[in-house]
Amino acid sequence: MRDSLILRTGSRGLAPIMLGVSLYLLVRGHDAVGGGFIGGLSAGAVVVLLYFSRGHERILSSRLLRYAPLVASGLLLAVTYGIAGLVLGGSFLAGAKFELPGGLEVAASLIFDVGVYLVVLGLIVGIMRHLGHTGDEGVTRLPERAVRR
Amino acid sequence: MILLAVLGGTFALSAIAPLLVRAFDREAAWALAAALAGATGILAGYGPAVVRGDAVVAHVAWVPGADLALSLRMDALAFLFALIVLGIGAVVMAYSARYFAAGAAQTGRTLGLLVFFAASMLGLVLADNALLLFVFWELTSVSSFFLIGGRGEGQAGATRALLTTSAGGLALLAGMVLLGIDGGTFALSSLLADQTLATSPLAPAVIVLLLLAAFTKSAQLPFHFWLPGAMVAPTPISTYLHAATMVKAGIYLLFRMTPLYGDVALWRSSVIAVGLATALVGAVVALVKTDLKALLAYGTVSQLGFLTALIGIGSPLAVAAAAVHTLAHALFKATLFMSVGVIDHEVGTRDLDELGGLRRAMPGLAAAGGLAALSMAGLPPLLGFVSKEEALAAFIEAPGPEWLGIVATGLVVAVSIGTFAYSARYYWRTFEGPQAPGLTVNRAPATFVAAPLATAITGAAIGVSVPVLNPVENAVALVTTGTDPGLALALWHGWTLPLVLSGVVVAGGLALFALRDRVEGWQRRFATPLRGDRAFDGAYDALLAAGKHVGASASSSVPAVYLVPVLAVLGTLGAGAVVWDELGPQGAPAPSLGPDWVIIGLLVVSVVGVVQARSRIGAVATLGFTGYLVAAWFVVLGAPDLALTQLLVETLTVAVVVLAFRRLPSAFTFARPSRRVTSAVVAVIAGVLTAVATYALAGRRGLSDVGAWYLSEAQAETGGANIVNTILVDFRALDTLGEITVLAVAAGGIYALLRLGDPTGLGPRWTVEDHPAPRATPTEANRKLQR
Repeated sequence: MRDSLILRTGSRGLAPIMLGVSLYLLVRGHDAVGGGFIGGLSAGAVVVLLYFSRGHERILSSRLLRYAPLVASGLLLAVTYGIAGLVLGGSFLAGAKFELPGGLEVAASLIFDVGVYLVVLGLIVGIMRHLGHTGDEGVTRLPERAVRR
Repeated sequence: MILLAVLGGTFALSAIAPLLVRAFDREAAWALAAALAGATGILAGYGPAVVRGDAVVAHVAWVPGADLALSLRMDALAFLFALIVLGIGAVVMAYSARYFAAGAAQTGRTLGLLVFFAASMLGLVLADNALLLFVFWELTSVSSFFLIGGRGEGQAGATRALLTTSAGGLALLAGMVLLGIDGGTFALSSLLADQTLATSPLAPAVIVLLLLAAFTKSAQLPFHFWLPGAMVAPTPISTYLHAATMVKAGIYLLFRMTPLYGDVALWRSSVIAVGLATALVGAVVALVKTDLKALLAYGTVSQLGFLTALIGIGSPLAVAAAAVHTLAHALFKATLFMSVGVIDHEVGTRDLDELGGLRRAMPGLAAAGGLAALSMAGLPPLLGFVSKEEALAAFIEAPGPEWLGIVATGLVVAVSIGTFAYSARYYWRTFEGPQAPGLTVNRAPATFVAAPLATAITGAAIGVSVPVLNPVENAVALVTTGTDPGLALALWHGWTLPLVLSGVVVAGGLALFALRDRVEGWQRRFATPLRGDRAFDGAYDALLAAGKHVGASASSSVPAVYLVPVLAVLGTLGAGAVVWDELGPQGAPAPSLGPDWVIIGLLVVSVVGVVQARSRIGAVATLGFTGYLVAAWFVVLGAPDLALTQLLVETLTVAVVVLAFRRLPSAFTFARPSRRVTSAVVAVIAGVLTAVATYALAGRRGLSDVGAWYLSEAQAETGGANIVNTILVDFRALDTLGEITVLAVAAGGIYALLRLGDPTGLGPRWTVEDHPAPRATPTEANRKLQR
């Protein structure tokens, strides 16, 4: 990976903003453009940015960026939401609305969307983590002959 | 509700069993045994009500529209089987407390699975919903697989057992679905009450499928081979699954379906014929086996065939006799297997040629084995005698043509002679005669021998006080045939024909036993036992080879090969859409907007850029630009959610493809000119066809009804204003759940694929050639990596 000062410095400022935007997209998804898929993909873009600016090591060394916990917790959250709907609402994945103090209305399906967010993010983390080790770490490029047809 | 509590409690017990074992090691098995015994007691308390005809029911609706419900029902038949499942389960647990070595690593897993199996089997016999029955049926097959394969040595046997029984499981599912569609419900008790189903045009198909399920599960010809193969499992498992309970699931299914099909000729003739053939083959093969577990396994095959034939006869008398014999068989076969386990444990062998004279060293065990062998041989005053007498009476009075009764009775007498002979062979060559030289016998603890003694004594006690079974067996006959035979079981009925035949059996059996050396020699010389396992392996290998052949076309390392089917389908569909009127354009094309032409112009430029690119990275980046243009188009058309998703996916795709391409040379290699021309022609044709088809087919209809409904109702229904999102998380949340599950699986697949050829040096390289590698290695490496 070629070291780039601009990318490195830029990412320090950009990453938190992007993460914030991704969470914003997730939360407002029920009423405006956004949602779990889009939010998760935006958060995935942060991971990609981290990868290209700080290198594979940054992702490998992170405690949070591990694919199995992310994917598993997301799936678990979605299923739990579904079962809660079965128990409380009478059918699997049944939704509900809640009135928060201050006139805010929140749909319970946000929990489901958080699950989607985590799974999508986990998939991207998995890809970057395991596909992303750099050539310098001992990947041998295939010889020219092997790919010529 | 008590049924739900007992069933749920048993499943919960299986979850905590490993924890108990971690805390108390193998002694935890006593607690599990006590819990199962308690459950037996609770259900037994409902006995009087059940035999009166008041079934205990529990019902929890799940998807009422699809008739899916957790619906349980305990009538007399389910009661009998439930008591066998839980009661024998308790004894096997107590036995396991001494069978497994102290501190053995596998104990927790095995005991947990055993309890899980007990719960599944209990669910199977209590299920009152056809699909629920299937679910529990499969759970027993799966837990059997893990229990057999638990020690790593039984892979082939476990695989054969799993594939055979789960093939039967699929047949069961197909049969139950057909039956449910035919009857308009999946509630088993309603289906069984609907006599029109027996004569419906679908009935033959249902019968064949259900029989396939029953015959595979209960090891009937020609599927019997899996049962002896499953004997590699530890003895508690052989005892519980492969002698006393799981193999009785098929028998249970036959019992259960008798009200509907008992009088159908196809059902009756196949059940009787297959049952008798299996009984005979099993008995003959058991006469020559010297491995005690193999001897008992073929004995089980034979006894299951006997039960099958008896149910096939279908008269109230026959069904009642089958119920008694099911209990008798569970008791004596459990005793026999457990005693073999003790012998194996304390002597170190279970080969008849190396055993003998063990009675002096193990008097308690010899008593248990002797009682069980007497019961299996059908001698008074044991339960096996009573059930065999009743069975003989049922065969003699078999309804239908006169020859059927005569032929069936003759065959059953032959089977019983064989049974007597191999019972005698088991007892005599294990416990009597001179002790083989050089045989060291460890002293078995009394707690170890207690379990086989308990089942043996229970069999004997019920034998001498056999009228206690009258209400149960008559009630079973009543629920399965609609008639109460009013049987009064007794050891002494006077000088009846069955008693005379019993005499014939004893005389024949003694003769066969006396001539055992000659019989074995004769059998070994002429034996052509049906090698079902070899036939199975042959078919299995052939299937894998065929799969390899089919898959070969999809395992090329040249990407172009994968494009051929895709382009062919695309081309055919595109051409079809243009040529075929009914598929062709419907309605006027959507009006085009000004920005469309700008985007199309830019798209053309970017596509030319992709084609012209010399480096891989350049081509990918330009392709990503094409994707961005499409996203822009979505914005113009008013689909911001779609546009945003497209934008993000495109970005990430480029990043991922760049990562993958780093392993390839940075520039494209040049192909021959002829190859380039061919590719260009194919690409242009595919592109033109796709474009024409898109123009002809897309955007030519107005808003659909469903779309209109979403637009008008979505916000009121869900409180969300973003309809795309409400569809994703509310209306079609189940689809989304499926999709994220696919994503999760894909993430696991990426992990597995890339770790297989791990080039990072972070973990040991684990390649296909190394297989089977020690299982812990990759996980260990993974843990290190993730730390």
